[in-house]
Amino acid sequence: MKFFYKFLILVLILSLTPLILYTFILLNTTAVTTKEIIDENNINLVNNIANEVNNFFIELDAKLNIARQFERMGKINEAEKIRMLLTEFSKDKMLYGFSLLDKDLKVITGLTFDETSSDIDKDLIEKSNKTEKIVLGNITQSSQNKPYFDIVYRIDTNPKEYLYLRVNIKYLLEKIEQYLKIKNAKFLKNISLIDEFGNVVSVLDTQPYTIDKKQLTEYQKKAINADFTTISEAKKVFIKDNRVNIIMLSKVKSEWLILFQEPIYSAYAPIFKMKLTALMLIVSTSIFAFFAVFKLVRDFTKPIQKIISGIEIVAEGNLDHKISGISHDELGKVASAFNSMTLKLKKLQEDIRKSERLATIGQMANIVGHEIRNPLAAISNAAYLIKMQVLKMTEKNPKILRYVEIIENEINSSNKIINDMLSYSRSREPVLSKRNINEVISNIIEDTVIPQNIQLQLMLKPEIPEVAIDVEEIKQVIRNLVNNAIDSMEKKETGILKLTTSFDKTSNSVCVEISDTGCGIPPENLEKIFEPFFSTKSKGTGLGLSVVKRIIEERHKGKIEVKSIVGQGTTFYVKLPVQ
Amino acid sequence: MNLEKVSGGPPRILVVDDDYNIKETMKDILEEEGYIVETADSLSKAQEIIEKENFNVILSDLSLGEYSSLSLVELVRRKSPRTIFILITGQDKLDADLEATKNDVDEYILKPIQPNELIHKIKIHLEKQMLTKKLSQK
Repeated sequence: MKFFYKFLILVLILSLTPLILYTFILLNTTAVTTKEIIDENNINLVNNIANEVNNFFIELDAKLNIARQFERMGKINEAEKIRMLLTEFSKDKMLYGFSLLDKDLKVITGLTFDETSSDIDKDLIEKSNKTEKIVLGNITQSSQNKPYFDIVYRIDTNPKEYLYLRVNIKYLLEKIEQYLKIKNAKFLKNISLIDEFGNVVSVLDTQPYTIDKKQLTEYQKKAINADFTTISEAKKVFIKDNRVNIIMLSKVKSEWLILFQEPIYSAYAPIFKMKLTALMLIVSTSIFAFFAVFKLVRDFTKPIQKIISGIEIVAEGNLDHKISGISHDELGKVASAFNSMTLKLKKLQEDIRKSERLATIGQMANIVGHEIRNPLAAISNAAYLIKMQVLKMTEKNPKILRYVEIIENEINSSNKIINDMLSYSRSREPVLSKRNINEVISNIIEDTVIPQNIQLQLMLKPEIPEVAIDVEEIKQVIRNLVNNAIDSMEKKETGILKLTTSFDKTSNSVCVEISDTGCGIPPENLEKIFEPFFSTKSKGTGLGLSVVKRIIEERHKGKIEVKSIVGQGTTFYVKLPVQ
Repeated sequence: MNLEKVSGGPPRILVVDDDYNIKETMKDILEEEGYIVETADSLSKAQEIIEKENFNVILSDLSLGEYSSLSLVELVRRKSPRTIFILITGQDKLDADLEATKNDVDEYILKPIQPNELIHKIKIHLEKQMLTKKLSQK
């Protein structure tokens, strides 16, 4: 796998793992707490509703006081009863209607606020005769979606009478609805009221129905359990059919069950919301992290890629290639180090090529020089012999002598060229011996023919330290510089050739100055004069001064410098180290 | 100075060079000066002649084909220590071997040789030689 992908995956894992872990831990603890809070709130709600139901029944029970009054008072005329009943019950929102029945179940008086519910449940009255004084009927639905239940109060007067009330459950449901509506804008919480026979009416769907016996028993058990304070609040809550259920018993005057139901997604919406938010946070962070890390890793590996491809290009031999566009960090330093290395390599390569070329030229010069020198020597000898013969003749022919001189001169300049070439290509080690430079200079001056127009000034410092030199080479250097000086003053009427020697204590070296008052060297040529094959003379190889520089600087570890003013003259400074 | 007076005849010079033209012209030049000149074009021939005859001066090129004439120096020193040995050499050949033998060689002349220069040097050496000979005879 590429370094890029390895790095990408590693950084992603490193950056996202803590986030995901932390989120999960936080979510878990928070979700549990939140669930507890939600459950508790719902339980409180159901408690309040149960109280409301209780109050409803208490209120209902209070309505039976009139029947009790009838019992206590004994004989009251019917008109009075009717008046009392009408006063008590007229426009009562809790009731759909009421009736006062005699022992034969004939209606003494009654009022129906709602014309749909005027029938009388005779079984219920029969039940009151057999069991309790007050009996509650089934939760029933009328045809107009108006659930009700009946209450019969057996008035134990002589003869018996019955107060028959038809109770408006909707009134209770509406009251309950207020509890449910307060907290949640989205109305999904439902409360069902279940009577002891399993008849059900709900807030959300007021259509009553009947639940089976088994279910009813289970609900009753749960309701009883939930009332034991030892059982934790949460246990009152149970999940069924993807709904949160809480069941409670209305304990006052009735045994109705109050069943709270809410779809899980609604009940625990905050938890879901929280989980969703966390998920979205993780997803969005992951996406963001991916792109950020992608960019980061790419930014990091891109310069590496650039450097690698740069190195490959250079490795193929393209030394002109430069790695560019890399920031100024450590990698930038790598790139610039590499670039400078390439640059040096290129220079080195050029140097090698140059020296290879020069070495080839040198080898050629060596061979050619040796091969030509012998024939030249023979020619030189022959010319000498001709001259001798001519001089012996009684009738001397000056022309022949002149021609022989031309031959001799040309042989001399040819020899000079060959010497330059051979000196330049010389490969042997210098043979050093300790010499006094003044003596060497004196020797050369003795052998040198100084033209008439030139005045020689020798300023040789006495008691100068000896220097380790290859005598022949240093002679060649000084001879070369002296000849150049003489040549530069060729066209002048008068000139001064000055040779000075001195000792420089600071650099511990012997200095030789050779100066002339000749034509001088133009500044643009001053840099080039030491380069091989550079010459402004019509004759010569252009090797003279490069040989001089090589002898002084490479072979004697000395130094050669030049100062020149056009028209005024030139001075060469040669420094030779004493040790 | 009359050379014949000292040596009992003109000084004898052996020219050793493998280049025919150089050898022959050199011979002529030196004969012009009045010397008796013998020539040899190889190391073996030179050795042969040196074994047989005596010379005042031996003038030899350093390189004789694939051989070096340095071995002649030893032979000459053994046989006739007073013989003047002049070695002709290219500047570039001035190496450590030559440096070691330098003391045994009376003179070495760098190429290219000017006939005048050569004649001048031979003259000076011969004069020296005659003086030493005179001194030793006395």
